[in-house]
Parts: sequence; structure tokens; C-alpha cells
Amino acid sequence: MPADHRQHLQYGFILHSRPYRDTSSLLEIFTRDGGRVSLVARGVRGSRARNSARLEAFVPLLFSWAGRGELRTMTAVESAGGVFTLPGSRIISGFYMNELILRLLHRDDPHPELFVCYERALQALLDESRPQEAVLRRYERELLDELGYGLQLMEDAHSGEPLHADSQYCYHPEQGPIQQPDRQQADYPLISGRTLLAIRDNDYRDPQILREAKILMRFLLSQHLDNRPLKSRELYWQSRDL
Amino acid sequence: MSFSPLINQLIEALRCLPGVGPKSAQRMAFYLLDREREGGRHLANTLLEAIEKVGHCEQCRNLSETPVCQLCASDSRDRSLLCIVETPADVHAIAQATEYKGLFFVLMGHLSPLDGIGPLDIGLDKLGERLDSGEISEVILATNATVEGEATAHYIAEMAARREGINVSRIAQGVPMGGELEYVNSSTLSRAFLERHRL
Ligand SMILES: [Zn+2]
Repeated sequence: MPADHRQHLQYGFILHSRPYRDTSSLLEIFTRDGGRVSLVARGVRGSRARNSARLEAFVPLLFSWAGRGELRTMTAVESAGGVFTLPGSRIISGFYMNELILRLLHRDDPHPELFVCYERALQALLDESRPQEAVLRRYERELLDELGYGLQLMEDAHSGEPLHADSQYCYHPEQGPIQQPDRQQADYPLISGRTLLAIRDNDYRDPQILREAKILMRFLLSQHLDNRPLKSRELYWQSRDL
Repeated sequence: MSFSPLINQLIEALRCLPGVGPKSAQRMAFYLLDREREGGRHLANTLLEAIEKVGHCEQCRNLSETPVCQLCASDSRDRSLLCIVETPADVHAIAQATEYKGLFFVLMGHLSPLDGIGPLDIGLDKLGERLDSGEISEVILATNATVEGEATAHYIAEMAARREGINVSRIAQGVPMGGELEYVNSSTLSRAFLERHRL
């Protein structure tokens, strides 16, 4: 019989919740110490539900659960204090961050450092004066790092030379940047040295760098998404001309 | 269970109702067959007729048995006000509780990208046409105070902002009437603080 995964007051966030039966919910959560966990939360919906905490994405919560299988039973939940009330314009970015975790992290695989990055990114999204693209690019890079697919942003993967701001590189998904002197056709995205160095330094003030970084990150993430597109990206930007 | 096949079938069928488990379905089935045959027949006929005849209003998407619902067809409503809600129950709740005299638009849900629900699924193409008609001067966003409701409200606010002469407002959120501060959840309290108003 598998071990009982009883846990008490685990700090974390809801990534996604789905109604289950009449008054229950199926929760996918991301906890600091336990990683991604699936819970069934009974009696939390409907007019008779008595929740002291708001059971929603972006609300810091303390979860307790028990159970032996992959789907645990939530035994208690309470607010961990504080709230990340994302402005309307930023909620979709939060959904996107959540979807990346749901798609890329295995259950019960703790990633405490990524959790810190996740919280920091949510905090950064609160501030509407900061461009959300810059927040997302940094988060994507940290996520890839944490999953063991970190970007190589130090040297040319073939020559071993340090990266030059003025050179063009072809970014190979496994090896890293390879200098591409002539603009011959490449199998992988062509990225300027300037952008690669800026990604390394988390410096996204230049819109041109943001554009190139987005191309590179999309390419690298797509390597791990099995050709299934991210819904938060697709659906939201569909029909922006309505 | 060893009931006859039709009784079993009835019990199973009743379970499609919200909040009805096997025990209560069984109780309902026996009640109808035992003591309320006439009522049962009436229920069955009405249900069938409603399911055949009730569709969605062409203008507001609310449930309606006529192509345009009574509310949209009424000439006593202020046609320059459009209140956006998630469900038909919300229309009812607002109509009962407020003096609102404008029209409604019912999304029948909210944006929820991770569940595959995008703008077209909640009729925002139709809403766009409505906003283009030039009739509307104020859009009142009355979606739920959930993250999905907020994301939906923001999306619609942006749609309205791309058109000239439409004001957008969002219903206020905060401490419920009769609510004691100590028992209000922290998200609600922080929102109530942010949206405090001068007296
Ligand atoms: Zn109507």
C-alpha cells in the first residue's frame, strides 16, 4: 500500500480549480515544499460553503491533506495572509504562468526555488508600470533552469568564445548559441548576442530585445510541450479585434 | 437494486438534477409514482415543451422562448445602458434587487483559458456587434468577483474602450451588508479598502 501523504499547513497557491459534483472542487495546487499536488476539496462550493479563505488562483493559502493515491483529499485550508490581487490586465499572464507549471512539472516533485520565482513574478505583475512581458521572460528562463533545461548564455557552444553583443547566434536547443556569421538558413532561431546577454542579465528595457527573447523562449518551451499549444496564450489572444 | 427496469431508469434520470444523489432520486421516483402521478405527468410534459421551445435571445443571449426576449423587446427599458452578467440567474438577481432600468447581456459563463473557454465561447463576437450599433453609452460590468470574472470584465472593458463614446463601469466590491469585518476574508477586505469612497 502506498504511503499516506498526510501533510499539514503546506504553503502554496491554486493553479487551477474545476467544479466536481455539486459542491466540491478538484484543485491543482503548487506548494513550496511539495511541488504540484492534486486535491479534491469537498463542500467548498455553493451557498452553504463556509470558507474563511478565497479558494482561487493567486491567493496564498495553507493546505492540509491526506490520502494515498495521486488525488489527495483536502482536510483543511486557510488563508496564509496577504493577497495578490492581479489587475485585470495581468490576470492572463498569471494564468499563463500557472499553465506552464501544470504542463511542465510532474506531480509531487518539489521545486522550492521555482516557487520563490513564481511568487516573485506574481508580485512583479501587481505593478502595472512594469511591462509584463519582461516579468514573463524572466520567469520562463527560471522555469527552464529549474527543470534542467537551462539556457547557455556564457559562450559559443562550438568555439568556446565568450558571447559578443555584436554577433548573431543560432540557438541550438541542446547545445546553446552557435555563431552564425552569414545569414544563411538556420534550423533554429537566430538571436543576437546582445539579446542573449540581456536575457542573462534580466535586462529587458529594449523592446527589440523583448521581441527576440520572446521568439527564443517560445522556441525553447515548445521543445517540452509536445506540440500541444498553451491554451492561455491561444485563446486569449484569439480575436483581439472583437 | 432490484426495482423494475423502468423505475431504475427513472431514478437514474432524476440524478441529472443538481444535488440529487441516489437516495433522493429514489425518494422522488417513488413519490411521483405513488402519490403524485398527475403532477408527474404535468412535470414531464412541461419539461419536454420547455426543452423544445426555450432557446437563447438573439440580443442578450438570455434564455427565451421568443427570438427576442421580453426584456429586450420592452420599450420601457433604457436602451443606452447595457449590464453584462455571467448567468441568467444574475439577471434575475439584479432585476429583483435594484432599480436598474437598462438592458442585459448574458455571457453564459466567463473566460477560462485553462478550461478552453475563450472569447467566442461567451458570445463576445455578438457583444462586439452590439457595441458597434451606436445605441449604447454605458456598459456596466457585473461579472463575478472571481479571477475569471475579473479577467472577463477587463477583456470587455478593452473592447468597449476601442469604440467611441462608451463609458465603462464595474460594480463595486467589498464588505457585504450586515457583515462583520472580522469575518470578511482578507481579499475582500483589501479590495474594500482600495475602493473606499469619500463621505
Ligand atoms: Zn434578450
